[in-house]
Amino acid sequence: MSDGEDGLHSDAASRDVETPPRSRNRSTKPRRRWPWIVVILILLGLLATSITMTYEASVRSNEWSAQVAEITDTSYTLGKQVADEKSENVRLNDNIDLLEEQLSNSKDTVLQLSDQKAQWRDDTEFAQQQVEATENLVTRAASAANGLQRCADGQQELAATLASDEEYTPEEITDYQDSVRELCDNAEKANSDLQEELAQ
Amino acid sequence: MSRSVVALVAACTLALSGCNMLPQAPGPLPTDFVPSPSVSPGEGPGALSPDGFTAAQRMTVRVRNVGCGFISTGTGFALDAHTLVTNRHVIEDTKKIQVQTYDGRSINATTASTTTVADIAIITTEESLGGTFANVARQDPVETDVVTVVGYPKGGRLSTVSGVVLGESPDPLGSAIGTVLATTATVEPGSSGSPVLDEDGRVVGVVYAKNKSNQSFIVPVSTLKTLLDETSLLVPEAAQC
Repeated sequence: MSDGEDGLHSDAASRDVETPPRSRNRSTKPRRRWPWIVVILILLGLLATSITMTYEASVRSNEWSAQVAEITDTSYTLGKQVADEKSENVRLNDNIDLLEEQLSNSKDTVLQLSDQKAQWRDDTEFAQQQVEATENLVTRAASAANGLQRCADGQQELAATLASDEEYTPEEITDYQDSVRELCDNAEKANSDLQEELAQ
Repeated sequence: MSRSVVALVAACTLALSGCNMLPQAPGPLPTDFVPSPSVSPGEGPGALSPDGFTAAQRMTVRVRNVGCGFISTGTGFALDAHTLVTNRHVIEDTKKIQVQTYDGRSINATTASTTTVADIAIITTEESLGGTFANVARQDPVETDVVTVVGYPKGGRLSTVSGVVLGESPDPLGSAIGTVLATTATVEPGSSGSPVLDEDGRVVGVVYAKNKSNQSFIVPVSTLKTLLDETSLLVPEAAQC
């Protein structure tokens, strides 16, 4: 160990003698400088990148600011529209209330008129039935009157026959009397039926 | 030293990678911030009808039976443009049947069919009854269901009453086959043939009778559907007189 140390001392001593220290420093300097060059280059690159990015950030910031301003303007515009629409909504709601009231009244009127029409049609149909019934009664009354007239005519003819000088057999007179009686019975029955119905 | 350089390069790379965190440029703003409406006011279940009347009112008609020396009234409802349902006893002994819509239109019936299965009659018309027809429910109502009756009580104005289904009951008139349903809805003569609607506006029965306790009786929709499906059960009603 001591030998080594001694040897080193002796080598160092011999280098100090043989080679001046300045010439040794010149030989090692280029090898130790390149990292710093790299560092400086990197720092320069970083600086350039930073400048670029700062510029880019500034540009984007301005764009965002412009858009925020535009959105703000749009928001105010929309807010005004909303306020206007709310006012319009209130006004329209008032109109709707009025229209609903008018519609309710109109519906009520429609139902009332429809009901009146229905009642009128009921009355018309009832009146029509009454007219038909009356017409029927008139027809029957005319028929009954006609039957009674024929009965009266038959009795007059029978009386005239009996009073005439013409000779009739008893059978002929009896048949004639029977036919006149039948005619009068039918007429009286039709008349009594009519009177009963009229009494109702 | 090389380690220092490597470290520095790594630090620079890391610093530069931070540049990727720059926000993107803003995109273009939309041209219109107001969304388009998804539903028209004229659509949906709460939509208004053309004249403010409900579908139930529009499909319900007043039936006038011009008989032999009498006139009676009842109620019916449109199944389609030319077919309506009412009660058999409403058109009994008829000579002429007329129906009148809620807005006063009068329409003459062309044919009428009845059945012995229930107090139901089907009337057809040549002229259209209108554009609103009954939505027939698939099932009968059950006890405690709320129902609405739309009709012309006493032949008067079109009116609406509500009630609750009390449950199944034997036919108080003894004429129907099977059971009928009793409700608390108050009806009057003239209400016969009125549609009974559930809370969704579907027809669940047809009014045909009442008792002294003011309970009304309805032919359930299942019976009505059976009659509509089995037309052989319907017999044409001959005009009397």
